[in-house]
Amino acid sequence: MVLVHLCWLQLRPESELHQICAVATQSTASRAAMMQYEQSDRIADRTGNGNMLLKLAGDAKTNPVVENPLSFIYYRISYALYPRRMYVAPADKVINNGWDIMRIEFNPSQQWLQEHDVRFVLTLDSDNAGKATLRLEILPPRDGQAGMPAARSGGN
Amino acid sequence: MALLACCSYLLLIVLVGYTLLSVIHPSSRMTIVQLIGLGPAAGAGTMGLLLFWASLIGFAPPRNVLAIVGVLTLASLLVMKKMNRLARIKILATDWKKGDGWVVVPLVITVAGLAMIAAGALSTPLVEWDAFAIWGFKAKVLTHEALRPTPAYFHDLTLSYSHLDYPLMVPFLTAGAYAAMGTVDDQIGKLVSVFLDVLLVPMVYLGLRWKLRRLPAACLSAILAMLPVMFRYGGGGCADLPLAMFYAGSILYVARWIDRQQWPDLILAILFSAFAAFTKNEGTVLALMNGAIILGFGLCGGRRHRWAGAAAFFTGLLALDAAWLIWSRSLPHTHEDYGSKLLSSLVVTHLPRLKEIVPAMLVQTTEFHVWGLLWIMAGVLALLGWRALARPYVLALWILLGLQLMSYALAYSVTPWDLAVVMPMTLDRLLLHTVPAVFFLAGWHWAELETGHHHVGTIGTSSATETPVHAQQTD
Repeated sequence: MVLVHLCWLQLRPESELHQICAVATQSTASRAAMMQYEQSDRIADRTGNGNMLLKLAGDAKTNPVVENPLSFIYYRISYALYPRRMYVAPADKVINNGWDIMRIEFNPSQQWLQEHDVRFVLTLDSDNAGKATLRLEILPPRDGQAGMPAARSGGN
Repeated sequence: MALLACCSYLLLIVLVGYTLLSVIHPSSRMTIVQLIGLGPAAGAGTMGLLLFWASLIGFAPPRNVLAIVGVLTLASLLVMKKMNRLARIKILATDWKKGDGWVVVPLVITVAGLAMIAAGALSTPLVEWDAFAIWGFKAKVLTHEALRPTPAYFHDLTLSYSHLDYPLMVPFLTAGAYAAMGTVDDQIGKLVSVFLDVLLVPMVYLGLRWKLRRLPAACLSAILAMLPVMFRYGGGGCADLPLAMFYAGSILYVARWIDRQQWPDLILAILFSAFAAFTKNEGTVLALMNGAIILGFGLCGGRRHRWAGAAAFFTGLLALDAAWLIWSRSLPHTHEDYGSKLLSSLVVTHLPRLKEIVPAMLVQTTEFHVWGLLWIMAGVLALLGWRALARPYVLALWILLGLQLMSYALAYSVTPWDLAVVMPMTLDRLLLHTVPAVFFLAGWHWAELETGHHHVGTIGTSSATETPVHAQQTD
């Protein structure tokens, strides 16, 4: 009876089995769910050999709605980038989640960026609806010119 | 090509496990389920520890370390073959009995369930947050750098979210796969995760078959394979199911040691406890509980043999995990730091939180869309087969389950997170660790209701004393 009940549970449309099938068959819903992963991984792929700085802009500095996507972006891109790095704070600051990043408001100097081989800046902003947007910029070579937008990615 | 390399790596793990079992049980008989369950489980734990030790010496898992392990394994197998000490493989441990033909139904369900878990896992890269932020990240670090000198990652507080102090069994096993493939491909690398996670089913089946007939044991195993929580976490790349798998081995052999005091059982109890301790921090607590139970039942038994067992257990556990304990001592902890908090006065001051935690844990067991009727079934079987409580190994497992649940409840009581947020997110995964104990208890109580099954000795049961009720069985 217990086994039959379990089999019946998996026949429900919202069951784990159906979710697995949706992912395996690349349904529209599962592709949408995978988009944020692919977007983060694409950003990591674009950055070549340099390290990256994650900055917050506008409402993203304080908007609590941003915390979750911010955590995701930091975790995911840090994973995808390794052995390169994504910097969000000095090395002695504890980062456990997006709140910690928002609280620290890291804004390193040019010298710091050069010392840490930071060649890209990923800026996270949030629009009026609270939707997070990402902008990737390539930092100029050491003699210092304005940053050049490399890509603009959609919401997260 | 990468897929082939990854499969070869998994085959190497199976061979390492077979060799290890042949060393522990020379010239014994090994059933198919032991070959595909116990052997790979022991091999995986051994491989994880070997890669860790090699990394401590200064070798990030490269192909040549795997090649050396392969050559040594094959050489050991050849020597043992020559000395006639290899475990012999047999299809069935007991005769096929009337009604056993129905086993094909739960077997098909089990295989279908596990195949779906594997298919689901392998169709995506690492997507579970913990899987890439903690375990996958560590696997990448360990692929790129050896542990000597300590990689900067382990002291970088900006990466604290990835729990710098977590044990490294799963990351090392994954790093081994990356080394074999020659590239970091986390989608194919998830084969390791699938391999470790589905091993829980044959491990539980082995524990059930120790006392239970083939058909009910197969039905319980199918229930395990079909649990929604298995679909949810199976092959996801986290360390919870590998922990449950190693823990299943540890409590099975602790129970057998308490029942029969056979040294090979104790060796396997030590090995699986050490593997569990190197898989997650919870594993260290569970391993110590195993030791405490062996000691406690040794004290009650009063025989010197059992005392020696407890001493051997703690010595073996320490020997296997000492390198990890020493090396990880200086790693920064997160603000969670359950180890320190559970040993501080905080536990006492936070006891009132249990009023919130215990009911939440009880409610979780009635979440049918997560657990089906598992917990209710286990409770009913325990009531029907209540006489099994007179058996020391059943009593020992009840105590272990109680201690495990208590330690998890206490961990929640000192958590820095908001309970209303953290419990719904983590409770099913934590209770997943208790699944082996719950299934064993369900099966062993069920076995109490059964009579008259003759004993067949295979690995670990060869000199067991047959009892008319609750006979030793294995398949």
